[in-house]
Amino acid sequence: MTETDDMAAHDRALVEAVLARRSGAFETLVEAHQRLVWHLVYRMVQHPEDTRELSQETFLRVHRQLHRFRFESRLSTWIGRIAYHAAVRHLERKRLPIVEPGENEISPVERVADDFDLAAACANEELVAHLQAAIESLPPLKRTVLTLYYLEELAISEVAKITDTPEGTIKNMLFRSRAQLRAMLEEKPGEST
Amino acid sequence: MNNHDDRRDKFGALLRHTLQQSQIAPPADFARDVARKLDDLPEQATLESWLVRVVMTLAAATVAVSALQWTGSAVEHVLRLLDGAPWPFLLLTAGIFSGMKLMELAQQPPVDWMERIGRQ
Repeated sequence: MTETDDMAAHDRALVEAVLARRSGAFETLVEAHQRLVWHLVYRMVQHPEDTRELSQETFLRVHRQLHRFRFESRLSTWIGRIAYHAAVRHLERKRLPIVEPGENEISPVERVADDFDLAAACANEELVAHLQAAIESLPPLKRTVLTLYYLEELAISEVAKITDTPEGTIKNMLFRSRAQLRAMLEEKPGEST
Repeated sequence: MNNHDDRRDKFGALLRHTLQQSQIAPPADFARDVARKLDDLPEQATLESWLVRVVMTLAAATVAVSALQWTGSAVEHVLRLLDGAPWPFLLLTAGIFSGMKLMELAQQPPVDWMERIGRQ
């Protein structure tokens, strides 16, 4: 049995347990996916209280809609989509843009050298803080795509499904975000990455 | 561009490290809280359905009371009309009519009940 089959079987068993109202099943489902939902929503809205509320809303919606899940994707992707749309609705209500204008501009620093000392960079708190600030300054969709790809280690196809965005656009977005972040880091005086 | 390489290279690793540092983890009791909230929903639904029943009963009772009041006033209205009726004249007319009917019946031949029963 492959890892994918194993995941699918696990998803099916969990969904069936929740639908059969087995005790503790829904709590297990939340525990299994809370990290993804929380990270995704937090990257989108960047507000702890709103994140808690939207994550709860996401799981209550998941419970209401679970009978409609057809196992055509992974359960985590389906739940991620619900979380993403809840966050998008929240940002729309607050009239905040999800992507920045001028997204197609090509950064001049796409081929910056990759010869920095990783251990030293990770240990450099100031550098990490600067990079954090740079990530936070990105528009919600870009920083969410970065989180799903780099932190949650989802495949590009899954990120595309969650955010309802074509795979090509996700690849472009990741490419440009990296370039943009590297440019921001290089703008910081006294730092070389 | 190879995105899988991007994730494994140094800048990708630095990005992952930075994202991990800035990420807020969900609270420890989050899953239990959500499950409890879900358990409360059917109770709330039951309470709501009971409240709806109470409201419906009250509404039905109010309609019944107002209908009774209306019926009462209708009966009162009819009685008031009867109070003003010329009862002696009506009774005299009914008496004359009954007398005429009795005289008519007296002029008819008596009915042979035994024959009528035998015919059936």
